[in-house]
Amino acid sequence: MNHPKQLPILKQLGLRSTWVRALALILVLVPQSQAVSTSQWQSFNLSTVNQYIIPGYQALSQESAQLLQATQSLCTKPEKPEQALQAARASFHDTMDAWQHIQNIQFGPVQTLMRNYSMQFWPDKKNHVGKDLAQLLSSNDPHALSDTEFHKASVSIKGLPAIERLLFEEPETKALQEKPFHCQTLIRIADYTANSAKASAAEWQQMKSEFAETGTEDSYFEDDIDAATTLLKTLVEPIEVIRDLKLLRPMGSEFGQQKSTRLESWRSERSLRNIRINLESLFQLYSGTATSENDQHKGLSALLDKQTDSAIRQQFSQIQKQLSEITQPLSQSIETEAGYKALTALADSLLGLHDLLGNAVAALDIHLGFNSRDGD
Amino acid sequence: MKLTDLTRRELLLKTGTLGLLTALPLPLFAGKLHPASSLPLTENIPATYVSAMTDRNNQHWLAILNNDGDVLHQLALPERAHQIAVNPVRPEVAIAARRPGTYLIIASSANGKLLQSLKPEPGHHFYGHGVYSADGRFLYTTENHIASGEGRIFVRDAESHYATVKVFDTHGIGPHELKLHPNGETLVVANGGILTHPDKGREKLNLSTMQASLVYLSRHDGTLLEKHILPAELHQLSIRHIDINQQALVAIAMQFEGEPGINVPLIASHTKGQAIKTLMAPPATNSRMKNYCGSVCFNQSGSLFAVSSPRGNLISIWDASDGTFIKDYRCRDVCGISQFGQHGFMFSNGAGKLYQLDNDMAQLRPLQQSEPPSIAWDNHLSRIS
Repeated sequence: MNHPKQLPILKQLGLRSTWVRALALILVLVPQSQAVSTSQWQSFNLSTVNQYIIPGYQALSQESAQLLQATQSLCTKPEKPEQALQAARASFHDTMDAWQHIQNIQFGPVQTLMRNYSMQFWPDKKNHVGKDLAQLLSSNDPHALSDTEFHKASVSIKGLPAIERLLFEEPETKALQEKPFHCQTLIRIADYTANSAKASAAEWQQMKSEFAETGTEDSYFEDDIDAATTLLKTLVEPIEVIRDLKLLRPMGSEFGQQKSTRLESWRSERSLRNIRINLESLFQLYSGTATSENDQHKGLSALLDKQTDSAIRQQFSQIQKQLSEITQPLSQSIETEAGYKALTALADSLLGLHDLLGNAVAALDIHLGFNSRDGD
Repeated sequence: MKLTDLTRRELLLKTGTLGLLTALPLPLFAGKLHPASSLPLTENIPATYVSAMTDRNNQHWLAILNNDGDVLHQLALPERAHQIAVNPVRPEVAIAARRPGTYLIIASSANGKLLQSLKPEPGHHFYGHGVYSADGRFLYTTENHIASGEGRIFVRDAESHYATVKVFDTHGIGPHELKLHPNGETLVVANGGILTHPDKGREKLNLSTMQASLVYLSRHDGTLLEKHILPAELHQLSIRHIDINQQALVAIAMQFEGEPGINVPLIASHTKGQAIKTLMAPPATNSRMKNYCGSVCFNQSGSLFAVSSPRGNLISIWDASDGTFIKDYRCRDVCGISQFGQHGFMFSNGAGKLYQLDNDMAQLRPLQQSEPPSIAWDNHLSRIS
């Protein structure tokens, strides 16, 4: 096996095929991977959970509780119905803001009872939300809203997309003041949403301990690197999801093939706001929230070499700049040639960010593996 | 385990020879440096497992491993592979490219060297799965007849340089994994039911009307012996991966193509002459599978089968005798399954790790690797010996 004839490539490189030379060459070519210690990963994990994930679920819990209150006010014959509707809409926006901030977290308590699907059933390729909601509303059956019955209902009508239809789309919005069952349905969905959010926030207090102690027989995580990988997946993978589902899918194969109703949250005209919040949140996850040296939450950023860190920060800024240059709602800009071009460029920048982050974590010997949509 | 794929790729790039190459000798082995005098080491160590893998530069490889998970030999592949078919008699393996696959590579299982490289017949592509006849002479691969979208099985003769000798209809769309029945005469084929066309990449074109099936065919002339489908309300369940034990029980791992958020059975078993029996995991386990199972494998004794759910980071173990769920284990991005010992299993994942489940099923044990892996194991792990 050590016969010179078997190393034609090294020969072509002008090297004498001794193992010493070959090994020297190999050692030079292997990219220097920075060593991150287990305790550094554990600290990264704990600070990410404590200062990024848990506050995110707490915010969702608070906002969705307020949304429930706002829907109750709207449905108790308010003196100024228009004002009450506006207040409920504002509360919907706050709740959706909070959800978009942690939409990237797709493991842990949010998976229990399919909360992630019920909170936001999207993309809804076959209009399940519309069909299932219409069926429920036309049943006019209060029994369907009872705890046991509603629990069995489809995830499509248990969350924010169904609330969005009731608050932002005629004739449902008008019916809220005319048909009590419409209002009862709205309150029921808001209640389910608030409970899901509250339970997720509470269960994260338990989940937190899984990051403190890994690797025992009943641990959720095999080791600290397994836990870190799970967290880093929530940073890298969503960028591809945003690009593929929130931009490229509505854009279709080329200009002229776009479908604005494939945009996320198009009824409440907040497709762009969702993406902005996603990116702000991902930047926070990347850079940490630390404001002082002693503050623990320094994010992935602090574990990278300066050059890589600055390239990633630059790419985040570039995307933020591109987002700020879109001044119309996405449902309008996607319909213009210039707007379509800007979205194409934005999608490319997201791909760039995805690759930069993927390479950065790979250099830390974190292997995200195939993405969670991979399969055959 | 230490792989040198990065460096090797860079070398290949520099010399402009990247592509299909025979395996280069590995100067580094098992993470330790060896002086020239101690080589060759790998000759004495039996190859045990084989899998496709992808390095972080997205180069795909065939990897031949020993029992400890060390890569003994590797061979660069032009595109992503899927399952590796092991010839039970001749020291060779067949790699049919992943859907829509455009190559079939035959390599030595002794040293990883390229033996032969073939293309699909015009108008066809591979689905990533193949199986050999018991005498090792014939290779059967599932393929797509692109124009009609009908599933085909191509029979190639290993004794005639893998010339195509027969073509069978699979009596379904999107055939995926296939196994040889223990009688040695019958092929069991999973028709996934999903129509795809290479012009549309990997897009699924018929999800609203799809219908998977499990078929039994004569390996000699393709005669349809039996065809089974799932009940109408489960028509969006794709039967994709199967294994069969010595008692001819077929274990089935499925993928649900309907809307997320619905709990459907994802495992099933089948005995020839009967209907498909769906098996439901306990609700919490079932929902953690995320409607997606990636691989299924019986242990060597045939008493248990394991199912991997890579999207749900989950392994489940099932009793072959009555189809009851026994236990689950969390394992990140796990997909490949093979046998270990008499009753145990070996698993591989997308993070480049390997895990053993010993005979007592007590604990999933990661293999000790001297270096962090820098590759992802692809979906299937096969045993050579």
